[in-house]
Amino acid sequence: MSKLFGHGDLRLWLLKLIDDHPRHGYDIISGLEEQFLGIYSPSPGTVYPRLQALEQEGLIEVADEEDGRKVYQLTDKGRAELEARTAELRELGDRLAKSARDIARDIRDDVKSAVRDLRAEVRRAAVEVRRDERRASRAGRDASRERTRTARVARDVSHEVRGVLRSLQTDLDGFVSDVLSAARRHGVDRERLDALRQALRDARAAVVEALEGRSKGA
Amino acid sequence: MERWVINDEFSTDLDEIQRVVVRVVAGEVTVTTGDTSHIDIRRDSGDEVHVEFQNGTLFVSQPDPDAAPLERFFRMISSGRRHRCTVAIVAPPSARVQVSTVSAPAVISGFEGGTDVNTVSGEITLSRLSGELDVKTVSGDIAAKGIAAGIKLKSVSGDIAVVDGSCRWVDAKAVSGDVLLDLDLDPQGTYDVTTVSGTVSLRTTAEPDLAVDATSVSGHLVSDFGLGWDSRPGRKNVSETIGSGGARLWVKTVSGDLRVLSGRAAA
Repeated sequence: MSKLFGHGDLRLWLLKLIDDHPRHGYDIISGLEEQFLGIYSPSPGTVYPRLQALEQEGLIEVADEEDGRKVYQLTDKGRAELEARTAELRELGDRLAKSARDIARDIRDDVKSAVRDLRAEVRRAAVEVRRDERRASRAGRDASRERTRTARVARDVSHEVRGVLRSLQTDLDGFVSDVLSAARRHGVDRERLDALRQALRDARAAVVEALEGRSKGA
Repeated sequence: MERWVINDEFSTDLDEIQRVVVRVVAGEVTVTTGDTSHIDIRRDSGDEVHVEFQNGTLFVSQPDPDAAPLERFFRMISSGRRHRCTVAIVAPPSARVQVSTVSAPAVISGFEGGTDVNTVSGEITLSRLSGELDVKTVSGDIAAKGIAAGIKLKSVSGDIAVVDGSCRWVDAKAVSGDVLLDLDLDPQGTYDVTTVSGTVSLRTTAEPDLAVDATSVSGHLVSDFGLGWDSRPGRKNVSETIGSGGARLWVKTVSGDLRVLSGRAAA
């Protein structure tokens, strides 16, 4: 809000305030604050050096001291300067009065831009959440599709395995019936039975080994 | 009692204002705080602006409030657009503020004493208010920032936005207007929002203690807190607790979306 006062304006306005009635620096600061509804509050570092400069130029002088604060009043030179710049002062007064009205506009702009920012932020957040959800549901869909595929593969595999086992069963059944009919045809004594058992054991071991070896290799 | 009838411009300091009542049609109304009570009024067109100051109550009106009701009514509707004035009031923070306008926008800032605003189409801007707030609008937007009080808001088509609020309770109703609340939740706070088609958004801190009860017919739900509709034919609802509950959010919409979001910086 320092744009409120152009170059040299604050100096002129300080003269005017002191001309209204003698004041000390703090009184001037709070007066300015009040005038501009708390939106413009000049710092002591802005006001005090200017008062000192005015005093050095002989435009104001210390009239009194109140609790250690210098109360300034205009000198004749100060009054003369103010009189010489009446038109300028009126113009500044008009501009500042308009600025005071502008303060409400500043408040409105401030609130509006906050609302605008918030609205944009919330919209962005909502879009983001929705995107995350979509991504999650897409990931979920992908996962379930993957599961379906795995299940189908497993089904296919087990189907194949069952087919293999079925043909193996047929082979085994054939093997058993061949052995039994050969035994029936040729007769079996104890000696041959032992040899036969040995051959069966060997055959079983070879078959199991073949199966295990294959599953190990796979 | 002091009384002024203003035809062009008028400006004066007043004794301490305790209550501000403004009833105008078009133009602009600003009510702000300061140590010295002050009014600054300009009639832009239409009837004279009437100003009365009695027992701490400042009454500003255009057209004449003392005209017979029927006459006032005819003046309103026959030449409503003609009445236009610019009103700027400075009053102490403790003042109670009541503003009614037809189309004039209003800016009200800094009060602790309670604020009522009614407008048809005026845009309402509120800032740094800590007294209870009651705002009604037909099509004007409501924008509020830094509100620390219970607030009651009603709008037909105007959007409602409360930024940076620390309200103990909110009662917001809108038809097609959106309701956007950006709040620090009170542990015992109740936040009640009803809309027909307007989107309801609550943005608060990342780890709130909030119980959410919401129903909608066809609105979408978007949430940072993993809330989801429990859908039944013709009705969706959600009833869940975030954190340890405490504050309560009640939302009813027909087709309006609901967003419950984090993202507000913790106080």
